[in-house]
Amino acid sequence: MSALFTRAGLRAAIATLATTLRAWAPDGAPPKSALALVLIASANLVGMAVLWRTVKQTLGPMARTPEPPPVPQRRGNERFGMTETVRRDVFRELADAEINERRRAITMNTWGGHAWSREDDLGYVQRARAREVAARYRLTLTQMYLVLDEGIRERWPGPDGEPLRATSEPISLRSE
Amino acid sequence: MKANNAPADALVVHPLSPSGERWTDWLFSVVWLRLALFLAVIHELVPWLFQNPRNLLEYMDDHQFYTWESANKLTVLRYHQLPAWNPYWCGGTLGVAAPEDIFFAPDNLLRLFFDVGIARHFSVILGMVLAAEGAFRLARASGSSGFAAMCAAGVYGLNTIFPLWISNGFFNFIVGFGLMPWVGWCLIVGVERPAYRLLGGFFLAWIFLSAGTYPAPYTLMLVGVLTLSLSVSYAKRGPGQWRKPFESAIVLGVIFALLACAKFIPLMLFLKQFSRTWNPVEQFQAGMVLSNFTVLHIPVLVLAGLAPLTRDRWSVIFTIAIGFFFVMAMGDFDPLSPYHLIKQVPLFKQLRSPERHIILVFLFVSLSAARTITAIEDFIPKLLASLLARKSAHELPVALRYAFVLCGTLFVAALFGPRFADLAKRCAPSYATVLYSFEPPVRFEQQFRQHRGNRRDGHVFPSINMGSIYCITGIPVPESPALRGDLPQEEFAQDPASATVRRVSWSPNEIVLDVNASRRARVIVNQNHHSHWRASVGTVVSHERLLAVDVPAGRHRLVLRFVDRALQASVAVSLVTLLALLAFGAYASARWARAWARSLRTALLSKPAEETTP
Repeated sequence: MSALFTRAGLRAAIATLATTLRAWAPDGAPPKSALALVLIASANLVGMAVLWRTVKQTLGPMARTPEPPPVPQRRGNERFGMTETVRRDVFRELADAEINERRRAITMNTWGGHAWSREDDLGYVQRARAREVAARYRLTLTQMYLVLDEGIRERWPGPDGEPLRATSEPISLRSE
Repeated sequence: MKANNAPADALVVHPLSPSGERWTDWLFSVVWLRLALFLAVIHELVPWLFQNPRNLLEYMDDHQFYTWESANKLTVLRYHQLPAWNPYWCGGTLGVAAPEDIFFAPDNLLRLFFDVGIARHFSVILGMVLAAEGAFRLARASGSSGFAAMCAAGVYGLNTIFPLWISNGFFNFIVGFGLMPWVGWCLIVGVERPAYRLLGGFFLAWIFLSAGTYPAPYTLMLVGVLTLSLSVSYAKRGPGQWRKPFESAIVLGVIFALLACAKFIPLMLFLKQFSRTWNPVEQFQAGMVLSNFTVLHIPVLVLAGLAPLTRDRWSVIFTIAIGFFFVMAMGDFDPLSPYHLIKQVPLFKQLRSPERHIILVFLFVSLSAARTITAIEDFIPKLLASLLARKSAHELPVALRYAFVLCGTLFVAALFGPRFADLAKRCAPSYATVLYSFEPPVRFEQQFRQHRGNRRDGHVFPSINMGSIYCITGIPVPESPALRGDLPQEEFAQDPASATVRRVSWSPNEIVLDVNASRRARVIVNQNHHSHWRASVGTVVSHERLLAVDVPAGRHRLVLRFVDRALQASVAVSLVTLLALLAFGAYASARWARAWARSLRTALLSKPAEETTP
């Protein structure tokens, strides 16, 4: 390694760099016959046109897919495109799933009490319930999480009369 | 006919070469047509990749990658900042320095121009096209015929490992392993043409920057195997020749290191601070590894197995590589197993899931099979020539030589073409697991704040400008237990009686606050603490691992900035290297254009006598 820093080493490095710069050769020297040249040029032009067309046909429609409409801003009693009654109903359903999962974790002593893993299980249950409720109310998943956030912030009571926890277990991965 | 010792740079064959030497290769030499063909085939066989472009996959990891990429996009386009800090995940974590981040990868530009979901779809398709084209180039560089190289491209481009990774949301693997053969190609061609070493360095850097936690070390292993094998091969050419492959690899490595510096240095510093938690001993039976190949691949495996019989150097190299990477895929089955030994090397220590090495086996099997097909293709003209009692094809009339070469290509096309087409067709259904069925997130404008979150639906949060406290990441920044999802203000005084705090502006890397403190006070931010945060007033401290600032009494405009000097210096190095490479590329392109113009002039002004010159 130290040889690299000697004068000879540096000279060799500079020579290598110079060779690299000088030795650029295009990918295959240009052909010398006119026919070959015309053939190659035309094949490439046709190729480019075909590629452009293929890209347009296959990827074009994907690029043009419209964005879903945004969640509506607050309008009177309506928030996130829902009345407060609907929001509270949605929250109650999400809270119900959470309370049941927390109870199950304690009863079954899941993960030997490893707190983050239990939280991870809760995330799984919550995700499933959120999707199910969203489908039932014809809402988006994004709206579900907005309502969950509102309920936690406003300390809306869950089915057990208590607000949901506003904290999460810090990440603590199992070592196995 | 040159079958087994074809030049390493025989990528472009002159269509009407006077020797007639495997002229049919020219049919496959137009890169644009190849790319169009690969894209069309993927579209035809794997239509699922092109459907519901804004949607996500079911699997949670896809949602997580989507979250980070959305956070990066927001940070750049809305706040005009480098995403050094990501407040949208885990209550704040490192951005571009995190192993899973792809911000500096060239294909990340797609995320800036298109919706993240659409761009992620494009990335997968790009990766598969790159994989096919890369395998084609590597096969051609190792002397395989155009047809055989197309077969290799089909087998590698539509391998049965990609669907698993795509359905898990590991799109960075598709791009990374798609680029892997490109690096091998550049290394081989770069032995004789030094400029390709620079290109190889660029591709390797791309792999690394595209969250190449696995593809990059695997590609380094590929480079190592190819360099050693080529060196042995070159040693026979003369004294000192053995050095040439090493020169190619070293220049490639230096360019890679300089270009990837923007991520490499911050990532190394990150890994030094926080190492991977989950690091089990993993081993797999040979049968399990082999099960990645389906019954459909038996003909390919047979062809690959026959390759050493052709006794050319590439077949030997590929066979050694197949064996080596197969054993690597078996994992840590013995203290002397290659996987165990390689994990002792610092950079490779973090690796797990050794079964992923099977992708390299796939690559080398496809390349090996291409060698056998080429040998058969080249044998036909020889056979026909010998039937005419000639020693060499060169003694035959030109027209006959062309006809015999065509016979060879048509023979292998008829024999193997339908089989390989059928293989691709029957491999395609394995991609049916890739279903973009999960609805995309919907935008909602509001001030940034933390949500209690859910890592399994992480993609939802950046679009509503919220962070997800509940999260997962392979190597996490320590997360504070005091993070909350119900605060009226994200920045507040620890003791409300000591100070009032008002947010003036917020962005991922800079928070501006108006603080009015009646006495010395602690201002707390509902994000994790990190040592790179700097405050314009007072001292940054960790308060139960939360970001906090101790400010003196008085009215202050408190500016909190995330400043990572190592990242800034590394980005500067990468940027300068990139500019130098672009300048060199422009110079090289100008030379290339001049050479073509000269050739055109000469061709148009001279008589076409050369075409018939024997």
